[in-house]
Amino acid sequence: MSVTIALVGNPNSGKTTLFNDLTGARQYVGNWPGVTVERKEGVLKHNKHVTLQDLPGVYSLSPYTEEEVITRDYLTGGSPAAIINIVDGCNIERNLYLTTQLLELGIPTVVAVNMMDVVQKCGDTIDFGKLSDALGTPVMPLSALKGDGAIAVADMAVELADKKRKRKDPHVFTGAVEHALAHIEEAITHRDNGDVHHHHAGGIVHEGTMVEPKNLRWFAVKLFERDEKVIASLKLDAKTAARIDEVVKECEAVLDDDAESIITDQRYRYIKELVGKAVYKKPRKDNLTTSDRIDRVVTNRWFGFPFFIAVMFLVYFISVTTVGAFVTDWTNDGLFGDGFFFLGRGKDAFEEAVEDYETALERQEAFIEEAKSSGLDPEAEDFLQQAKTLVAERPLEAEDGTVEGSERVTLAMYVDALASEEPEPSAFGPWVRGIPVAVEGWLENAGVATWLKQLITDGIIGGVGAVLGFVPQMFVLFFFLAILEDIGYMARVAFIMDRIFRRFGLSGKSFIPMLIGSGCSVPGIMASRTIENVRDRRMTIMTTSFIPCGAKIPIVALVAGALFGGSWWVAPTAYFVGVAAVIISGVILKKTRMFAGSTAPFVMELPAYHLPSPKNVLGSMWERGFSFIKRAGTIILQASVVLWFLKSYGVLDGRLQMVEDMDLSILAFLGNLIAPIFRPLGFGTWQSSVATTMGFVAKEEVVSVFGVLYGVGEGALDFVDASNFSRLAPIAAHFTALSGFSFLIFNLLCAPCFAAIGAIRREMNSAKWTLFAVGYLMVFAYVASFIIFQLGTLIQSGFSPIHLVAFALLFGLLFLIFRKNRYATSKEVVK
Amino acid sequence: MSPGTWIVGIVLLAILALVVRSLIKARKSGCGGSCAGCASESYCRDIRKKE
Repeated sequence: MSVTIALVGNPNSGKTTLFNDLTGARQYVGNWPGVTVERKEGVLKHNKHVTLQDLPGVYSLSPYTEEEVITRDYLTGGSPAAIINIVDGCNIERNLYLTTQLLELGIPTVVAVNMMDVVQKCGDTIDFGKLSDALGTPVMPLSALKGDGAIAVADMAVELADKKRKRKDPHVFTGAVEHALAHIEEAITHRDNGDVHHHHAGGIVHEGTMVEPKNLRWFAVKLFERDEKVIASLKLDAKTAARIDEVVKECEAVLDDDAESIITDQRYRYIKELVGKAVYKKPRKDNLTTSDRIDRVVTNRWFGFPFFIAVMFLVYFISVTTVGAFVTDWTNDGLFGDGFFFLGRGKDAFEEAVEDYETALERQEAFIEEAKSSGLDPEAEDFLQQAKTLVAERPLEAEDGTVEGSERVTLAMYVDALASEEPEPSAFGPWVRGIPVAVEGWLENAGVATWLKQLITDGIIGGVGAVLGFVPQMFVLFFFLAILEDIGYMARVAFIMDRIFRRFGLSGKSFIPMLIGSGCSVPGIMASRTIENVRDRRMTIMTTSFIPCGAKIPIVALVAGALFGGSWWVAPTAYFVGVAAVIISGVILKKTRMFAGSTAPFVMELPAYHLPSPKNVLGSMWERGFSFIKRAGTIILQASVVLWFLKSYGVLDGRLQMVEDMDLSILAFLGNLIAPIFRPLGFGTWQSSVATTMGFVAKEEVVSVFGVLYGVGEGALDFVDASNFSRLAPIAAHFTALSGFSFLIFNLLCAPCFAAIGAIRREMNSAKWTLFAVGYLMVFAYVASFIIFQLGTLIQSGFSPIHLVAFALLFGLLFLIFRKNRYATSKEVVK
Repeated sequence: MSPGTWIVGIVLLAILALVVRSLIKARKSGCGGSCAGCASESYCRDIRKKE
């Protein structure tokens, strides 16, 4: 027989960690509230008959937030056979508030006190026997992160579900409230006036009884609290409603408080008493934990934000420029390039030989040039005789390209240089051919037609390989982000950003979707549904995609590598441009009628700092990173095939045929149609226009397009090598440093990919708002790139009339940012 | 066309067909279609299932 067990608990109490542990699933775990926005289902690893439901974290069963509505609707309507209530052992008082409500539902419940490792480390002790006795239900220790006690808790829940064990209700309320509740229970249990009720409370119809008997207590409490949703769902007749109202008013008069406050107050009194008996907290010096002490610095009013900037700067710098680039070097240059030396054996000797060979070529070139300028003919048979006394000068360049001296090239050196041969890598060590080279060789041996060979090597391997080449950088980035999340720092960032966001009317809650969006915008946009205020939610949805998702990392790495020689500042800038765009948009939008309104309060629990768990960090990194590999094998592969056809075929002499020159291809024709739009931004070539447009399919496509156009085998992307990004000439030729930066800014800020636009459409639930969001993002990105490029050209090459437009846009933008907020005091502008 | 071209062409077509099939399947089974393009499937796969 199959059994369903629900996992319920406060936000950030470790439900999803336990869910993953018990089901073997790899649901996204984050230590900030709102990670689970919908319930998720999984089957117990060790008992396939048991289904586990992971519910969003809630503090109570009041219907105030989306998470609370989802959780309580499921518990009262879905009727799980048992509940595992996860309680954070470090914050047991507050967590038990929900427990008292869950016990009223009448569903067999096991209370699992999580984070016991931390509790024990703090020197605190919990008397589980006393807690179990008082609550009338099993209370068990758990350490979900370490997996300790997880199976025992699950087994206990299954046992309770099987036995349908009758619980002893805890004595939460005092006499007057108990008296009132008894009357309410009676009113909704018995038929009055012979009427037959057919109410759908909890999805179950009971003739004569409005609610299922086991839920009776919960409904009584909710009716006492005058919970509007419950009142509406029960469709009480006038007489019953009046009777209940009378009972509640009597109790309110006796206790001199409103009903909801009475219930809350009595619950907390009960919990305080219970915790006083069953929990021993070790006295601490100055009452500060280690986390509190760290937070004094990390979340400091003045130091918190600069610290966040420094941390993120370091993360992006390391991920894209140093460690990431090192790994990407091997992938692009080796795996998707010519090849690599197994375990690097022979690499140094080979590189030395390549350097010698290049020097020889330069000497030849310098000698020939000198000979020509001296009126000698290098093709002449007696050239060596004629050039006996000739001496050429070869400029010696430093690593940064500056000339730092010269070398005299004599005839003897020229003759030596003529004898030198291009080094063969296999002669220096165990050489493994790169995928494109190996596949090309294999296809040639199989006698495959040239067009198909090109489709596979240039189209598929070029397009997919271009993206896969950057996956290592994504993995490194996700690894560092996962560490920051797991140790508890990212939760603090929401708190730090709250101070900044609050200035323009958003709360730190809006930063949580942006944290999630640093992996992929789609779940980031979905996470915005935890924001109750509709205006704040819309604004968050619109701005979440400004934060660079993983798919934008290849664009950043491409521009940083191709145009800025792998400069240290490009990658971190990309992130902070995103953050700045969110803040500027927030300031601008909040001053409009559509988004004006008071700031919603932001309450969040900061988890205690702890060492990162390798399982969590590696799991999160793999989960996010692997999705990109999968995407490369699906969407990117399809798009690469289509792109290859479009770039290889064109209409010549009135018929469709393969073209040698890409400029005559269908893709060039289409690209040229849209190129004028991007010309004022500095990247009006058809290639970069196609790349930008294809970014809507998936942002990795921006890089993939260049891979297809120039082919990995031709060295377009195997640039991250020892020669420091110098082999990106085909791509770099389309840009100057300024237009490349403008290209980067536009692609970072413009509308996201179609999948994310789809997510916007669903979360906005309105075509009009979706159009507005996409339109806003496009206009914002265009204006930002326009200003950057045009003002840059003004500095570089002097004034032209188009700069007036750039100034007008800049002043317009500054006006929108700094103008007075006419709606600053408005409480409710949009109904 | 050479036999090699035929064989490689057919294999490639089969792979492309499988990719299209998996994209359609992801769209049908996932969160309203985003799974096919979402880079964090595990996070959002079930989100829209119940709607």
